[in-house]
Amino acid sequence: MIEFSNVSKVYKNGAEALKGVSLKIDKGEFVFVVGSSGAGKSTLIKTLLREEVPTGGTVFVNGQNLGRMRRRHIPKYRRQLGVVFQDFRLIPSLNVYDNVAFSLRVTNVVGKEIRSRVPYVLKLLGLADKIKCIPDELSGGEQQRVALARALVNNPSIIIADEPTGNIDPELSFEIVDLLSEINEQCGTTILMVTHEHELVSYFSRRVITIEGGQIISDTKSGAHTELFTGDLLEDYSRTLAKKQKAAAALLAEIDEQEEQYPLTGEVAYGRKA
Amino acid sequence: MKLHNLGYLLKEGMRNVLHNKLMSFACIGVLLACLLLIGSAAMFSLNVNSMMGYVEDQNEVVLILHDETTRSEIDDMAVSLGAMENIAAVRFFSRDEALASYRLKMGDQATLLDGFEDNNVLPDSYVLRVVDLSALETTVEQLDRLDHVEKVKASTVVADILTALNKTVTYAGIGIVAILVVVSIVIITNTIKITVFSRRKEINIMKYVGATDSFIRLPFLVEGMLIGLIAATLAFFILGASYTYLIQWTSDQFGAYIGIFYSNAIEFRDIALYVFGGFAGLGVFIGVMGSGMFMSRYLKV
Repeated sequence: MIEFSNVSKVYKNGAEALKGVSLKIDKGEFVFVVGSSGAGKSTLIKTLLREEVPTGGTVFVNGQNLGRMRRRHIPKYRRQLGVVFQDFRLIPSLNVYDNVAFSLRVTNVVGKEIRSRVPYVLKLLGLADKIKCIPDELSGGEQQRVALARALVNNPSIIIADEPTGNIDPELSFEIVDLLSEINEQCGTTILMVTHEHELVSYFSRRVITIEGGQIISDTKSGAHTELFTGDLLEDYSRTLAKKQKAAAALLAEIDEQEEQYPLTGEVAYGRKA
Repeated sequence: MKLHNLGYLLKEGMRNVLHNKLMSFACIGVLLACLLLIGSAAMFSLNVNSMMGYVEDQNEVVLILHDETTRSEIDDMAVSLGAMENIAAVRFFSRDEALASYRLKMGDQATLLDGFEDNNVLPDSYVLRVVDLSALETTVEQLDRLDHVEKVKASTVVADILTALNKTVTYAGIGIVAILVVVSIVIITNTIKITVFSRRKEINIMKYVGATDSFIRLPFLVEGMLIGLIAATLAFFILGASYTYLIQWTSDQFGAYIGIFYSNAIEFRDIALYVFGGFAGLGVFIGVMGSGMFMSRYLKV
């Protein structure tokens, strides 16, 4: 299904993001990818999305060699994937329904099919009563569920989630991963989720791939971390994490407020803004 | 591209135009100015040409022959004159005919010419009509070099003025229009750049969900095309109205003096279809050029 063989990636500025990564993910697997910032997780995902081409080694997804893929075949390839981002990437001017329908409209799906599939997926993710809301009227968790609905609606064989819980309250993070987990079990969709949150990884005991310095340093079946965080310790850890995230959220809100007063120009490199 | 997407693409294109009202307005304005100038120059040129045609019909070149030219030489000349490039019609005007026409002109005093019949001092001549008045001078020179020709009489003044005027208008028109076309393309390119920038998030999402490059680009082409079409339509009506008004006003004011002008002026409705076709074609061309030419640089899809 997904196979990296000795993949390396050196960016034009000389940065070595991946150094001889080899891994194999089978159909229907649920895999967490963990690692600190700059470890190469993003490059891994960009390679999977065929945004970047590896400078060495080969990547095969569903039997397609990404390094040799022609430009005009990329759109078709991406339709086999569902992508969820940390910053949701919903279109602010469109309501929930249109945001989900958008991905079908721009990929040549006929109207009749859009009208039957979008409500179905929204209902599946418990968003049936939010159809007319615009993203700003939703909570972070709901926005991420909309993003998930958008990723799901074209029935992808693989879902790639890049820190999907990064901008969401910890309580809701579990909900999102729960949903992913359910999708994985019900539909047999392969899921690759990048995350920082060890707590989640431990809770859902799944395969965990740890990347550090562009290399895979561990690949454990069904979350070895579980043993580290159990019982009181897990609760304690969760509480501390929740507290820290709340503090971080307050800080972000403050920064937002300041940004409104003193708007910054330019791009957010790794956006937290939806 | 499938047909059921056409509506979506058109809608997106229109949304783009409405989204950047100010820039769209600027685009349409410049394009409108450009088309109006082209249109005015074209109308002027057409009218001058129509007048030239009239003057060409009126303008005769008279070839006066030497007295000692024989009958057979005169006949030979008819053939060689007919073979010349810029000659539309050749008519022999014998000394007898000349005398007869003189008589006619003299009217009551025609009797003064009695006695000339046996001793006609008037020369034989050829009356020619030229095809292209602007080449009259060359033709006159050629005629002058022919044998048996004593004198070539032609009025080149009107032709000179009209030709010079037409040339000036054409060149100045081409210059101004070229500049305006470039400006239009630059402004439209810029507008598209702004649209792309303001919608980069959507474009980004489109890329991730697997929209094809052409699908992402088409709304921008539609935007350029719409701008072109709107400018063309406006230009068509403005030009039509002001031209018709101008012709009417001119004929009211100077009708008596330049009746020729009025009678030869082109009616707008006769050429309306061509004008609209030309405007629409050019407007769409510039719009599409502006949005399409540099777009890949901003879209990077």
